[in-house]
Parts: sequence; C-alpha cells; structure tokens
Amino acid sequence: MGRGPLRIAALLVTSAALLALPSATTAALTTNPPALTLARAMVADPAVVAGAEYVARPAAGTPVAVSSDPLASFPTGGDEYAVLTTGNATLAGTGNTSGSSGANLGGGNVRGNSDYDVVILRIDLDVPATANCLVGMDFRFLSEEYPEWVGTAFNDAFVAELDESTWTTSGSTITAPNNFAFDPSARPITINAAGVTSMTAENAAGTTYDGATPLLTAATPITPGPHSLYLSIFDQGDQVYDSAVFVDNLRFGRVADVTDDCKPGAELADEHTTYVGLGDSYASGFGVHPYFPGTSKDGTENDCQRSTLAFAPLVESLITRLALDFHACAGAVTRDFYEARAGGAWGEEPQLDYLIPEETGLVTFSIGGNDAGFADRLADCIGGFKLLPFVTCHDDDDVTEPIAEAFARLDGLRATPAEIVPYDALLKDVRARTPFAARVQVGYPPFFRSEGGDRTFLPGGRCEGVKKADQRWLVELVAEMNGIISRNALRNGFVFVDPTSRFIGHELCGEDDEWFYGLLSSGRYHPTGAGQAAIAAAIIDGLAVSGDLPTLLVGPDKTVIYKFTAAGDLVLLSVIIEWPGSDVELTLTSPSGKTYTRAAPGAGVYHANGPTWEQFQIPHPEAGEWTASLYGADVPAAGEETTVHVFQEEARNQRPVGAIELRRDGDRLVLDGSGSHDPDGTITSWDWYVSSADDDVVLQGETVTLPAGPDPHSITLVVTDDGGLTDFVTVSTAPMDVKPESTDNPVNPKAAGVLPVALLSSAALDATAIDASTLRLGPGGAQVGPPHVHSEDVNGDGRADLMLQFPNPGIGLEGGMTSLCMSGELPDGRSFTACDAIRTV
Amino acid sequence: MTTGLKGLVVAAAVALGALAAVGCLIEALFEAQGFGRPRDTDPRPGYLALLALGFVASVTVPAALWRALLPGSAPAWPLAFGAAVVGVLMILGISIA
Repeated sequence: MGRGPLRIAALLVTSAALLALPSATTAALTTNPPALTLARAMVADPAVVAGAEYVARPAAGTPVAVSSDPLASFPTGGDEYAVLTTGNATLAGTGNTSGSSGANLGGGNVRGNSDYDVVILRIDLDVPATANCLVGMDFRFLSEEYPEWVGTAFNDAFVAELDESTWTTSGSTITAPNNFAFDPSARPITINAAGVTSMTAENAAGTTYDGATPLLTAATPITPGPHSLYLSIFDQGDQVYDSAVFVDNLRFGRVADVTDDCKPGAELADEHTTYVGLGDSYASGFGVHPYFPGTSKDGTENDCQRSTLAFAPLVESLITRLALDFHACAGAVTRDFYEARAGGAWGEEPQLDYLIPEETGLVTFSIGGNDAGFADRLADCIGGFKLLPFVTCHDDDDVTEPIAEAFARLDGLRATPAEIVPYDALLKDVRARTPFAARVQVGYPPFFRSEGGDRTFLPGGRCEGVKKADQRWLVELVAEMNGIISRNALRNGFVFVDPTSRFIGHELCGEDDEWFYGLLSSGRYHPTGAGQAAIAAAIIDGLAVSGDLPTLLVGPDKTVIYKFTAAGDLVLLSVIIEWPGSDVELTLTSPSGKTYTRAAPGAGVYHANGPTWEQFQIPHPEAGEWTASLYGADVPAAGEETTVHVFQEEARNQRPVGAIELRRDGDRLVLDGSGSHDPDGTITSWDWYVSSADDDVVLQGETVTLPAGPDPHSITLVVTDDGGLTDFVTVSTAPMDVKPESTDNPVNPKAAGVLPVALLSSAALDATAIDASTLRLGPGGAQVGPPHVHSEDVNGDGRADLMLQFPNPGIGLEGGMTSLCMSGELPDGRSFTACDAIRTV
Repeated sequence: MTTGLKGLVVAAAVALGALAAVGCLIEALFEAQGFGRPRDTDPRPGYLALLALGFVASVTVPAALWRALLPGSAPAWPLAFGAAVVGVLMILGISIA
C-alpha cells in the first residue's frame, strides 16, 4: 500500500529533524515523562486515567517517551502516543541507519532469570459505567533483534495485563497467563510472533528498528469502575539491542456480546481509523450547543461553530473504531475545500488537506448550500418588502436567477460563477485523497412541508416569515439540490445520504416535533440536535446499504468477467471498481467490441485510478451488454475482493413550463393550467396556492374553479413533471368590472365604439395608482390612451376606481365569449390579471 | 377630521410602524448574526445604524401622530404599539419560543 504524500512529507520532515539534532530531546518527543503523562498520551479519553506508576523502569537512560511525531502510523488517536522501549526511546524515529541500534541500560532481572531493561507501567483506570469492554488498544511492537535473532533465546517481548501482572521469564521461555495482547499461538508479542502479528522489515519503515509487527489492536472484557492496566516490555537473553512498543488510542466502550465482540488477543488494527468530518454549517452542527472549544470565537478568531452534537461526533460514537477529525465549518463553500478559510485567519486549512490518504477510513460532508446562497435567499424571502402580504420571492428574478446559476455550476453545466467548484471535480479530488475510505456526501433536509405550513392566527399562510407558496418553492429547491448531489455522488461512487424522508413531519410548522431552529434562533433554519441525530442515523444506514454492491474475487494473474446492460440514450456510463489494496486492472468492452483500457481509455473518456480503485466515465455509451474484465495485476495469492459500481446516467430532466389562464364562469373565477407543458415528459400535478385577504388555500387539479366571492390577490401555480422537477408561475388579480352600469355585461363584438371597464380599488389596492399604459384587454390586447382614463368611484364604496374606455375593435371580442380578461402591472411592478364575465350579443 | 377618522389614521400608522419596526429588528438580527451578510465579514456599522434609525422612526412617527390626533388617549400608546408588534410577529408566523 502506498503512503499519502502528506504523511510521507511528515515522515521525511521528522527524520530529517531528528538526524539533524543529536540531542535526545526534540519539541515533539518528551523522554522519561511522569507515568501519568505517559498514560494520558495513550488513552482516547484521559478522564478515565485515575493514576499511573512505573512499577519497573531502568534507573538509567531514556527508555520511555511521549511523542507527537507521526511515525509508523502513530498517533492513531489524538496528537500523542506512548513509546516504551528496552533502551533509548529517542532513537525510535531516527531512521534505520544501523543494524544494531540500542542502549544497555543495565536493568537487571525483574520477573525471572532472562528479562532485562524491564519497563512495567501500571495505569489506574476508572472505567465508565456504560463500558463492558476495553475495546481497543492500538500498538506496534518493533525490534532491532529482527530478523537475525528470530527463533533464538533473544526473544524481546511486550505484555499487556489487566488488574494483575504475573508474567515471568525462564531461559528462553516467557509465561504470561494474564496477557490479553497475545499472538495467534497464545504467546506474547515478540520477534517470534506468529500469524498476522508476524514482524516484517516493511512494517518498521521510518523507524530505527529492523522489523515490526503490523499495526495491532487488542481487546479484553472489563467491568465499570477501578481497574489497573499493566503494560510491560523487556529484553530477553541480553540487554544490547533495543525493542520498543508504540501504544495509543486505548479506549473503552460497550459491545452487544462480550464473548463474541470483545475477545482477548492481538489482531490487525484497521490503519484507516480516522473519520474526517468536513462540510458546511449543516455538517458543523451550527446552532446546536455546546460547540467544541476554539470554534466559536471563544478566544480565537475561529467561528466554524462545530457542535459536539453534530452528526459527525454522533457517527463517531456509533462507529467506535474511528477517531473523528472534525473540520466542518459554518459558512463553508466548495472553494473552502481548496483554500484556507478567511485567508487562514481562522486556523482552518483547506478542507481537502485534512484527508490523509493512509489514515482516513471515513469521510462525510455536506457542501454546496452556501454556494447556492440558501441563507441569502431565505433572508430575501423574509425581510424587506417580502414582509408585506402577497409579495412572494419565488417569482423574483433577483432571487431565483443566482440560485439557478449556482445549481447549474455545481452540476457542471456552466463555467460560471467561477468561484463555485463543480461537484464532479470536488468529488474526484476527495476520492483521490481517500483511497481507503468510505465516502459519504450528505444532502439537505427540507425546511418546510411540501404543502406549506401556517403558524399565523390570521389568514396568510406563513411559517417563520415565509409564505406558503415560497415554502413550497424552497422545498423544491432543496429537492433539486439533492438531485444534483445524488447524480454527482453516484457517478463518482460516493454514498449519497438524503435525509429528506427522516425529516417528514419534523419540518418547521410540521406536524411533529420541529427539527429545525426558527427564525429568531441563532441556529435559524438549521437542524436541531434531534435533526443532527436523524442525519447521523441516515449515514449509518447509508453505509450499511452501500455494502450491497456486486463483489468479485480476483486472483493473481486471473481475469474475472462481470457483465451488465447499459440502457439506451444514456449521457454517461460510470464504472468504478474498488479493492482493498495492491492492484486490479479494469478493461471495459462495449456491445460492439470497442475496448477501454487503463493504457488506452479512449478519446473523450474520463479515466483515473488509485491504489484501491479504477474509474471510467464514458459519455454517450452504446446500449446493450457491456463486459467488465477485472485482472489481478498485483493481488495476494488468496485473491482480492473487488466491488463493481456501475452508474448509468440518463439525460437530465428538463423543467416543465407552467402557464396560467384565468377566465370567468359567471361570477366564479376559473384557474386553468392546461396550457402548461413539459418538453421531455408529462406534467403529473398542478398545485394552486390561492391567497386573498381573508383566505389562503391550496387546490389541486389542472383546472380549478374558485367559489363566488372577491377575487384572490395572488395565485401561484406549481406544475410538477414526471421527473420531479417543478415550475412556478404567479399572477396577482385585481377586481374588474366591465360596463359598471350593467349586471350581465352585454357586449357587441362588431361595435365600433369604446368598451367601458373599471379596475376597482380595495383595501389592498389603489387602482388609480396603476399605470394605464401597461394594461392590455382581451385576446387582441387592446390598449388605452390618456384621454380615456380617469378616476371615479364607480361602485360607491368611497374609494376612487380606475375607469377606462377601450377601443372595441382592438379587444378581439368574438361571438360566444363569456369572459373578458385584462393584464397589466400593479404599482409595485408585479403583473396581474383581472377578469369579468360578459355576454356577447 | 372626525374622531373616527383620526382613529383610523392612527391605527394604520401604528400597524405600519409595528411592521416597519419588526422589519428593522429582523434585518438587524440577520446582519448581526451573519444571515445573508457577506461571508466572513463583520456586521456593517453603517447599515446597523440605518436600521436603528428606521426602528426609532417606526416608533416615534406613529407616536407623534397619536399624540397630535388623539392627545387624550396618548398614555395607551405603548400598550397599543406592543400589541401591534406581537400581532405582526404572529401574522408572520414567527415562533418566539
């Protein structure tokens, strides 16, 4: 397996620094620390350490140390780890420049007749009340005795015991009945360790030692309360060459079945134990107190507002083998994955830099909401003139166009805004940095109910300042955003977690507990602690489902075939294979026989491969049966389990186009949406949001008829197509009276004179303020000039109305018409439609 | 102007004043807490001062109108304005909890 570039750099820097400094002490290595310091360096939660003591330690030399130098996969949790040696701990990271590094400390026998330079550390523990298992203790045993003294009496060893230390030596024999970190042969970990715990030279890379075990972990059952842990290391047979053990991430937890899930014995530790939590405020847990220290301007400039109850810490608590490295940050945008936040003033590196390839076992993030300007748009929908009744934001181009542009950019459909990084590019960069990780991109939950919520005591239909039609629009925006995230995530083999279904009923003004903070909260429109917990549960479920991919066992120099059928008219075929390590080569063969290989992926085809994966993205692939050939180029003799991920991307759904036609049916207003259409499918639903001064209703149907009564002030039609995309159209209405002196409004289409029409003022509308030049009457769009416009109270309600005289020939009247409508602009610039019933004569 | 008409004018002024006052407070809250404000910037003092001015005007103009038109009932002003603000918040559907 390869090492990540940053890790290699760290090792080089460390080695260079140590070589340059002959002193035994560096800033990152503290030798012979107090036992308590050493103990706290190796536990995941220092609070469990009640005390510590060196039961045995050579009087001379520097056999123990606390180190923060990255070395041999350490630290595995936190910033520090413990180094226990039988000689000189400062040599550990100096590189392997000698085949006989070591220090004779003169430490005599402690537990028999062949142990020397013995270190025994006792750690007094206060085990948490919920724990029933010491679930893990990461360690690596390293020795200069390897390989020349393997199988001899020089059998240096490491022993871990709980509550009682009873190990002894006799000649070349070690007896350790209490040892819970034993090898598969039930013997202590030594240079002769067996099976998966066996030493190799490669495992000691970067250290002074000639060999080391793999990174190991050991567990043992435990009960809550006080216990003592004994860690021992000693030379056997002589005192010359050094051996060492690095120990870290000692942790306790609760397992379902102690017998099965907490077995003593050393086993391979998963080296990729870091869980990197990235993303924006939905990932940081913005609003959910308490925050992690140093992330909310509490003594630093950092204002990322990372919550201890965000979904990432919750996921970490559910997957105990992982240690969280949390760098989500409120307000983050896609470019923060590449640039330090606030120019570096917050102490936040580019988020991608936190992905250490060799260490990362899981990465989760939500990102893009701030690029789309969700916060700005919500503010637009609430503040300013949107406080007024009947003024909506979903039909305001200043609100909708920036979002549309951002969505298109995130989806890779346009080159601007340049500051937004398209998801496809970002996800490929995440993949390149996480060869051993599960990758999860989290979508966004909807803030409101689809049908709109109402918290008002008067008609008006608002929830947290947002009107019903705008609530629906925001719900659709989130859904569209999740569609874009899903498409890009699946195309790149990421797990996509959509929290939407879990939030149904828990939206703002929802039927159950609300899982969002309201407008006046500092966490406004962000998930509460319960919402974060729901997202965490969705991630756990998503990870479980992601293991259901086809898996093939690929042997060395063997080719395994996997066939799949590509549908017609695809815009992209994405095929990704993943394996644990080494190398498997993928070749794709199209139905016509065209091949796509690592060496020759073909023009226009995206191809990339890493230490654990290979990916092809083929635009406009042939329909029919494809063959994926998986060749074991460099795999173990037992074969390598390889998963195959195929994603067939269809052409993007095109947005439907909504159209509203109003007409009169007697004294009732008819709302007709039959003029709406969908360019690539069918319209499946028509939802009407009808707002008036004394009522606020949502109606369904292609055509709906309102009850007799005053006309509504605002009508919004939401059409949804068979692919789930929506379009919003809004018209305002104004009361109109054709021939005010008449009740049945008889009109003669062939008359040459003028037709009197009144636009009536109301409490919400001053009709006399309407610009008459914007008015168009009838299918002919007749206009009216200044001489034919005047103010007059035509209905005797005390308000001046707008009286208009339209030229009859231009109106477009035809025999049989029963309704006549006028369009124009209200004083605030919104368009409106007004209709009245007529009878042609 | 009749007393009834004066009452209508004052009621309209109080309602509009309450709406404007709530609007200014919400905008100031957004600005102070960064909601909709340019990213990684501090609140803009000039904008906050303008909102403060708007809030003061939203309170004092209806109050002055009340005092001028209905001087006898002026002591009821704070109560009426408070009720109007609560009414606006409820019309906006904003939870205070």
